[in-house]
Parts: sequence; C-alpha cells; structure tokens
Amino acid sequence: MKETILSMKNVIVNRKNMLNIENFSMKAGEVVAVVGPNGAGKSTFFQVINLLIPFNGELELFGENVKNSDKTKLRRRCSYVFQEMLLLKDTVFNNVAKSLQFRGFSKSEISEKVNKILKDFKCEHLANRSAHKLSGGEAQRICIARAMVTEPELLLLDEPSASLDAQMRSEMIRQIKEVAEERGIAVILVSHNFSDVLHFAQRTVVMFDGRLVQDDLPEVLMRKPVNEKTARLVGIDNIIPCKVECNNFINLFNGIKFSYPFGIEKSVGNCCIPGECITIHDSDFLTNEDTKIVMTGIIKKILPDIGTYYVVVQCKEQIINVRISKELIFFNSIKENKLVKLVFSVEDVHFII
Amino acid sequence: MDIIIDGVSHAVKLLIKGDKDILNIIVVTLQVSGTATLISIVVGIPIGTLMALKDFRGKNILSSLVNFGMGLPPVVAGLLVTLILWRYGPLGSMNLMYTIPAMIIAQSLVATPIITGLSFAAILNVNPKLKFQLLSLGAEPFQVSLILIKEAKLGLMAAVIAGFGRVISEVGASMMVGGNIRGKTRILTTAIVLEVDKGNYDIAIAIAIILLLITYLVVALLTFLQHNERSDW
Repeated sequence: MKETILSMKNVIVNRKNMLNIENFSMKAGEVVAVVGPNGAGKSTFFQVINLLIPFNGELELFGENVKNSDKTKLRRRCSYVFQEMLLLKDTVFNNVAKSLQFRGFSKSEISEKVNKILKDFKCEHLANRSAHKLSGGEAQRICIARAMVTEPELLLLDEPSASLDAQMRSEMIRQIKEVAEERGIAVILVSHNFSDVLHFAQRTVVMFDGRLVQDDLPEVLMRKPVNEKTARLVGIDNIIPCKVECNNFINLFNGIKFSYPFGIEKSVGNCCIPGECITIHDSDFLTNEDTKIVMTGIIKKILPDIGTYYVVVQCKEQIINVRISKELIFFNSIKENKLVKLVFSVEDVHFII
Repeated sequence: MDIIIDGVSHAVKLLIKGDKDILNIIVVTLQVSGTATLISIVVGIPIGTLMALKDFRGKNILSSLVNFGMGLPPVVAGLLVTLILWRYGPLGSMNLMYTIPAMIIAQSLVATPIITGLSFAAILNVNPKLKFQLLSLGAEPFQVSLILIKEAKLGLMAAVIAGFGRVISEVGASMMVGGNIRGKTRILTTAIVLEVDKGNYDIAIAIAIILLLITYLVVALLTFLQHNERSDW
C-alpha cells in the first residue's frame, strides 16, 4: 500500500481567501485535480501545503508534522508552479538551475540535470536566452521544467497551462502526466479547464469558499455533482428545477412528470441531465419503456461544438441542451424550428439540492 | 554675466593648473560623501529589505520614521551630531568634532533614511509572489533576500544615486560639524559658502562648476551601471 504523503486535518487560514479544510489526504504517486471558481481558495490551499503562509490545524507532509519540522527541508521535497510565470532576470539555464543550486548540487550535476530537463521539455534551444525575452508559452514550459528538475515527490501545479494554446496545453498535460507516472510523483493540479482534469487526474476535488465540497473520480464529478454550484462549475448541460411529490413522483418545472424508481430525498430542488444522455426523435415517436421519459419541444438552435453538435430545444418554458453527433444531425434531419421529442432515461438523471 | 564667464574661466584654470587647495577640497568631498553613501548603503539597504519582506511589531512606526528622515533638514542632522560630539556631549571624549569622521556621521544621518526608504520601495516593487516562488524552489530565507535585492537592483541604484546626490550637495551639517577648516574639513559646498561670504563670486562659481562636474561624473557612472544592468534584459 502506498504511503500517505499529505494529510490535512481542520486546517484553517483566516485571511482574504480563507481556507477551511476538514480532512484531506493523498498518497504517493497520486494525481489529484482541484477545481473551483476564482477566489475559492485554491492558491491558498497550495500555499498552505507548500508552507508559505501561516495556518491553524494539523498538516503532515511526507509523514512529518510540519509544525516541528524544518520547513525548507520539506519544501525541497515539493515543487510549486505558480499561476504567474515568476522567472528571474537571468538566463533560462540559470533559472532552471536555481533550485538545484539551493540544494547544493555540484556544477557538473546541475549542468547535466538542467540540460536533460530542457531537452525533455523541448527547450534546449532556449538555454542561453534571457528569461524575460521568452514568449508566454515558452516561459510556462520553463516554469514547469524548473519545477520538475529537482524530481520532487509532490508537484503543485496552479493553472500550469493557462497561457498555452490548446495543442500545446494538451501536449504539456500529457508530458507532465507521463513524467509524473514514470517517476512516481504525486501531483495536485489546479485547472479551470475540465478537459485537462479529465485527461490528467485520477481524483478530483471541488473547492468552494475555501472548503472541499466533493472528492470523487472526475467522471463521477461530471455525472453526479453534489450541489448546483458544482453542477454549474463542471458544466452540466441541463440543470432543471424540480420538486419531489408523493410516491417519488418528480415534477420538472417544464410540466414533465415521471416516477423515479430509486431512493430520493424530498429536499432536492434540481435535476441534472447530461446533454449526451438525451436523444432526439421525430414528433410521432412513441415508447413503451417505463424508464424512458419523453418531452416535446421545438429546436431553437443548432451549434457546432468540439466533436459534437449542440442542439438547443425549447420544451415549454425550459431550454434543454442536447449533444448529438454530426451523423445524427443529418440522419434524423434535425433542423431549426422542427418539432421533436426528447427522450432520456431515469438512470441518467441525477438530483441535487 | 561677466561674473559667470569669469567663474567658468577660473574653474578651467583651477582644474588645468591642478590647484593644491582645490584638489584637496575635491578629495575631502569625495572621501566624506563617498564614505557616508557607503555607510548608508550598508545600513539602509538591509533595513529597507527587512521592512519590505518581514512583518514585525513597530514596522509602521519605523516606516514613518524613515519617511520623516527622508525630509530631515541637514542643518538639524548637523545640530544633532554636534550635540552628541560636542566636548560635553555623550561622545565628546572621542574628540571627533571638526573632523572628517564627524562630517561622515552627519552626512550618513542625512543619506541613510533616503536609501532606506527608496530601497524599501524598490524591493516592494519586485513581484511579491517572487518571494514565495523562491521559498518554494527551496531557498533559505537569506537566499531569498539576496535574490530579491538582485532583482531590485535598478531601483536600489536609484536609491544610491539619490542618497549620494543629497549628501554631496549638503552644506549645513558639514559646516556645523566640520567647521570648514582649510586643508582639513573644507569641502566643495562649504568652500562655495565661504567664497560668497568673502565676495569672491568668480571663485565661488568656479568651485560650483567643479562640484557640478564631479557630481555629474559620479551620478553618470552610477547611471551607466544601472542602465548596463537593464540593457542585459
């Protein structure tokens, strides 16, 4: 069993971006993503883990209680890539070498390690360039190379791919993941880009107002967010207000009623339906399946999206968003202002408070 | 107008001739102001850095004192040093009154708050997150301070230029604690005052031109170093 390298209990920071972590831990080699809106406390979370700001509560890093330990020694087992590219007024080589110099490596070791990491990140041609003359993407890559050169046990990445274009970003995320897996580095990634999170992390933590509200697999988070804020954060296509009536009868606010065969709390107020779980049919479509729910509506817009089409359907007062493939658009002759039936299965419905 | 022309030609003559008195005054001026600036750098930059990087009790009071000191009239600084070094003062037994060290102390008192205050601002001007970045890269706190000082070099050079400019042009304190003794504590500014008192306006203008020339040369050298640093980036 892998050892726990980070454990936080009742960690509280009282300042502008406050933090209140009741319980959080991660194991060696684990890859975790943290998502949350701006000002949720994600950077504060990192600053606490990297022992940069004071806090109350219990924090253990690599099995050591940080209060009784040498903070610099513990920091040297981690690497932190900041959201902002903070490079020194020096060459790229010297910037990457800095952390090794702090650790007392010899000149030959530094040269060998720096050249290798620059090569790994395809930046060897930048070695002698002034760090302040780099483009945003190059500087970002250098920041990540600088963090990786020390072979940390825990890597903290705060929006590391923010200034990269889409292709470069997915390449960078893939590269970091590969290196982390190869070397058994535990990684915590903060990202606003949910596709980064899906490609990168084994576990996703949602943060709101300094608190961790959900800790799940990324795909679970995408399907079963714990509350409306999380559902909106992960971009659930349809969040429909609803009411639970007697005998588990669900009353959607667009007039649709259906029986829910599974357990449900009376207090739920919204129903989440992923866009890809809804199918579009002609207006004369009929079904005998009890678990299928049918709604009638008019197609308002058809919008192209990455790898799919986004169909906006007006069902009474409610807008329903459906994702379908290009083939289905043509096959079902889907066009604007067409009367259609939308069908979804009760198993795909998730309720939130 | 004739006085000015006379003054300029006199200055050229004095410089070409290598007038012994003038050369001595130049050497004393550079010795006093140079040493005072160095002392102010040694004291002011670490205090400015500490104020910028650390939160401690009384920081606001220290800040206000430094800001107040930046506008300290040199005559008041001179009076303070006189009271301390005067025969019956706390350090009277050291017999420093009317000596070069006394002038250095007075000028340091004038320049230190300027260099401290401007260093504080220069270090604050460096991205505050850089401190966190350096700590997270594994730097010890003293390594962080050294790198931040290096990063703020441009602003710190401006602080040094301002400090030097202030002391080399200062007259009140130097006159009070140095006594303007010929061949001993006479500096360019006090020499100008003396020559004006004697009615030798041409000589006063000549010395003023020499003072401006020396000040310009030193400031130009510091500016060159400042811009040389900048042009690398």
